[in-house]
Amino acid sequence: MNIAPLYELKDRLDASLTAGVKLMDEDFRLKRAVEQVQPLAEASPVFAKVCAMSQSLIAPGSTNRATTLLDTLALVNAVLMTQGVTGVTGEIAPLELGQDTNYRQKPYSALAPLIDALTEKGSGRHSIITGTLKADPDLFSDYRLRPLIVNVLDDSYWETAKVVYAWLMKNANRSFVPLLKTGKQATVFRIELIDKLAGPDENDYYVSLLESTQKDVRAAVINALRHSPANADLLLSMVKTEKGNCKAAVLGALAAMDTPEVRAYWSKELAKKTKSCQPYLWNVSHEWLSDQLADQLTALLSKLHAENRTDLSVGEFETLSLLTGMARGKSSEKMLDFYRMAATMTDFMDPFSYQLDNRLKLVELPFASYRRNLPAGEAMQYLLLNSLIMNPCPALADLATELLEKHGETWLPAAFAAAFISLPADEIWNKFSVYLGEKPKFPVFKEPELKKAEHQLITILDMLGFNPQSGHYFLHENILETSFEAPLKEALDIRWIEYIMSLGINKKLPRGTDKEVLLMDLLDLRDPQLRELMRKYVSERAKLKPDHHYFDLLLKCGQQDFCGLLAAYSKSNRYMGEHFVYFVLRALPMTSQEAGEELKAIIKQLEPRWKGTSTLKNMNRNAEMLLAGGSVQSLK
Amino acid sequence: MKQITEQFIASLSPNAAALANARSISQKGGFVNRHCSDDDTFYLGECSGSGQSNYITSADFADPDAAVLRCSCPSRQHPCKHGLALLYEISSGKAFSPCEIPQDILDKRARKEARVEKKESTEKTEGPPKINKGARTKKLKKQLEGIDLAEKMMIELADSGLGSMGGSSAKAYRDLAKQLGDYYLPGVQLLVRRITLEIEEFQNDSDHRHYREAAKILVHLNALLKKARTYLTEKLENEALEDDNSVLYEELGGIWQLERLKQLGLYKENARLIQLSFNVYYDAGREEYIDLGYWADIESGEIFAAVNYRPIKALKHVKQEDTIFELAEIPALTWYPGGLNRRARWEQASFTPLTPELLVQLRQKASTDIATAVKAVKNQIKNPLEDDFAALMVSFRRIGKIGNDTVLEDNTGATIMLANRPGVEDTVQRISMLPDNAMLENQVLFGAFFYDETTRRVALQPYSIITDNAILRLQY
Repeated sequence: MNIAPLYELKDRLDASLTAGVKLMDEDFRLKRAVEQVQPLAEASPVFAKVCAMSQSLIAPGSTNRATTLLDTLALVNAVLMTQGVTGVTGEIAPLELGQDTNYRQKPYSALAPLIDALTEKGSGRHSIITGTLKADPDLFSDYRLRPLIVNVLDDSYWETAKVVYAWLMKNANRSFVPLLKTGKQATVFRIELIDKLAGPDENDYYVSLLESTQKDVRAAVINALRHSPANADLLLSMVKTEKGNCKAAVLGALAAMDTPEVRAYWSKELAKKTKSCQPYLWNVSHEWLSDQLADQLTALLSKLHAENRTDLSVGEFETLSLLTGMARGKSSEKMLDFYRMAATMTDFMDPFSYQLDNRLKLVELPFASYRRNLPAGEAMQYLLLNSLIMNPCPALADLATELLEKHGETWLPAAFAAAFISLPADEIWNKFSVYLGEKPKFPVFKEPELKKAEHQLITILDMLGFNPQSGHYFLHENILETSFEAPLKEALDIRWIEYIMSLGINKKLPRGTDKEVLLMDLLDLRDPQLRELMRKYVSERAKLKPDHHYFDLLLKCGQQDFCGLLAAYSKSNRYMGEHFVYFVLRALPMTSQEAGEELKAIIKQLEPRWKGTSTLKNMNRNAEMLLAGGSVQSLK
Repeated sequence: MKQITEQFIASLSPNAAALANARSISQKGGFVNRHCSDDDTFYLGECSGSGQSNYITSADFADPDAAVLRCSCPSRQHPCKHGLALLYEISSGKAFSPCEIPQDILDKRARKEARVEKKESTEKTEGPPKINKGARTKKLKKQLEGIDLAEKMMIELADSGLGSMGGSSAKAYRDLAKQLGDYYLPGVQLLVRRITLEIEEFQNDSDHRHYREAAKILVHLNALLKKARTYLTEKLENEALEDDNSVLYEELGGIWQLERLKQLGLYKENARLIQLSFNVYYDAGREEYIDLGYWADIESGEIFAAVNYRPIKALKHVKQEDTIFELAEIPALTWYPGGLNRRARWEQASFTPLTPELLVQLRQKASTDIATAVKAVKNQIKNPLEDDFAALMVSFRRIGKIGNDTVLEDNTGATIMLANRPGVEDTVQRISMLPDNAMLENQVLFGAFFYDETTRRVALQPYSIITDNAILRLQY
């Protein structure tokens, strides 16, 4: 039975209720709907009743039309509901489930504050979101919250959106993509996330967005086009039509591609407009690009060498600077040969730097090694160091070792860094500890100056870091405002840390190197041997030069005895506040008696400053309370 | 030491924030002293707070199922975060030193016992409270007057059309809704308010869906007024003035007394319920948050709705309900008259962990085929005075996709589309986020069957999946 007329009747009755019963006489569409439904009257008594009621509704001179209309509508609704179909025709295919989704038996009350923060617009939600990320990040992985989390990307408060974006960048997986595509409109955050999670799989989506997006969002969409080589022609045509950020995005996308058309485009551009290529090509590693840059660099150096000319024009120096800038991270055979050639010409190249324009530099130097007039020949080894950190491949590591062996200590920093990337920890120590200066056998008033080689090793040690989350050591450097990290082959040999600890307090270290910051950066608290070594070192340091940073570090290293430490600190920090004292005492593993005695000692130090104040009275009262066995936690 | 679960603490908490704060106080070592009586019925803690002196917090377990928490802090919230934090201290097994039960606590216990005894003896000697016939008759007459007024308004509205209800006209209807409050017809009042809200929303977003919704409410109002007039007139004529077993009582806005429900036989002793799903939503018409939990009776398989209304104006003072993962053992369960998901209420419950055996028992109560469930649902939703959906359990063979639609197939091979009810959180999408395919084969799905006007079919919104080991919640 075809009940389509009944649906039409319902729509007309709804429309009559919206327009008003008074206009019903003029509603010819309702009359037609009533006529169309009449053949159904014979199907069943209930249909007959619908027909009769609808007829009476449009009958001329009908009374109580309003209630009749509502009664008819109620009946039609009921009939339609009972006639509603259930089955779905077709073959059932399995659902594609999300990966790594998390389901925890968390009650609503545990999720509610986060749900409110993710859905409401009031103040305070940013701190709830960041607080949850810190205290219970697993809640963010609850699949029930995913749509809410994704919606925060459109939040008008940018800081909140940014926090969620950062979390998604780190934790989201492919199953988030449908959610990211369902926003009211595409945003930069959403596009960048889809770009990261789906890459070329969503190419049709990116292309479809080109028609409707503008400015930054368009730039993000264009950037996402880089995944699919099929977009090469489209991007090459956009080079001519796009402007500003969008054009930059087009060039960025082209730089990431490696098709014959794109190669031809860049080869032409590199030869003609080296400067405009630099921002796009310095951080990509195509083999052909590496070869072309090596060719251009070799040609330039050979020409200068053949002419025996070191007084470069500004233009020549700029070209050299741009080419070396783009050569970072490149490791083709031709590029390795260029390094080998440059290593034989360092003496010839050194005078180049005296023409150095302040705005130009050949390489990013480690801060500790920064010198305004770095000789260009020496700069080549820092170029190799940069390359190693950007691209820690065996070819570059072997090259650094080869250059150290053939050309001596000029290449020591790069070879030392290459060793961390490619050699076992023990072998590194054996190979490079020979460069360390000997410790004086008896106390001296002034420690000897660092040798150049030792200075260079400390510079590289200063570039090391430890990631407590992943549990790995790495070499790091910021190059053109981009941070690069190269993982170490093995954990750092503890002897390097012992060596750093052995450096005297007054030892002149490379510029910008702080011995204790260096040690903190290398501290792996999971290693009991290292923890104990650090604990002993810091507890000695704390006695010599009390500092509040040591309290936390000593706690982490498992120090148990803190007696006298806070009192010593108060001696050198007379403006220490009362609440700071309580805060530290509450955090330290002290008995009430020990804390009471410590507080008494602090009062003795600070009494002249606080004489007659309520602070002093309060501290005395608290000290008595502790000595009487009161809880340290109740200090306030 | 008393064994206290997190669930028990959550069941006492007035809201999520209090619970989180309590947890934080306990974790940060807020209690400087802890004491416990020898008989394990009284716990005392000294908690440092923002005040000058520490707060004295106690938990009295004289009645093990109804802990009494007291605190000297100035919070008006009861129980306060310190009371709940003391329970966390007990549950985490911290050390309590022995103490005597203070005299004032003993006095309070004695007074409470005396009150209970007095209430029981009054019930025995005097029976249920007598109704005031005069007042009831007066109220019924007033309600009939209100029905006349509402009907007049409804006819005027239908005559001039919902489209005419803009600006000042909507305000007039809002005022009228307020006026209906004088006639003891909060249910009718609510429907009028809902109509004005739909029209106001149309004025904001120009979505014609609001007119369709308003029309539906008007149809509901018409049916309610008709049936209510007959119902109230009969009651008046027959002098049957007591509340009876009719859905109209609540529809008109009546509030059931548990005692009366017991008298009407809507009552069960020692019921064992399992919560299948929980959600919280805001009802703009009522201006209240509604905590809605669906519970299955493990013996009968009946699905009850536990509804907790929290008015915006008293949000801080009304306890928010929560997800319960355990079996609730309820000494006295009462329920309202109604359809497939009758509203249930209880005053006391104790909780025990869910076992696989209980889940197997629960799964056996599910409808074995879609057709049976849909038949029962259609029977309910065709009545304009009933809910336009019903939540039931159904066993299924698998859940998958047909085209873009997510579909459930039962053991007979029949299928039903999984869809979201208008205005309810999307739970269909969450199915595709589940971690394991095994959850989508040969399990039981609990969800709401409803008529989807856009597709003109009966659809099912999934709320949870019941496996042999757990209830996987797609809501909360």
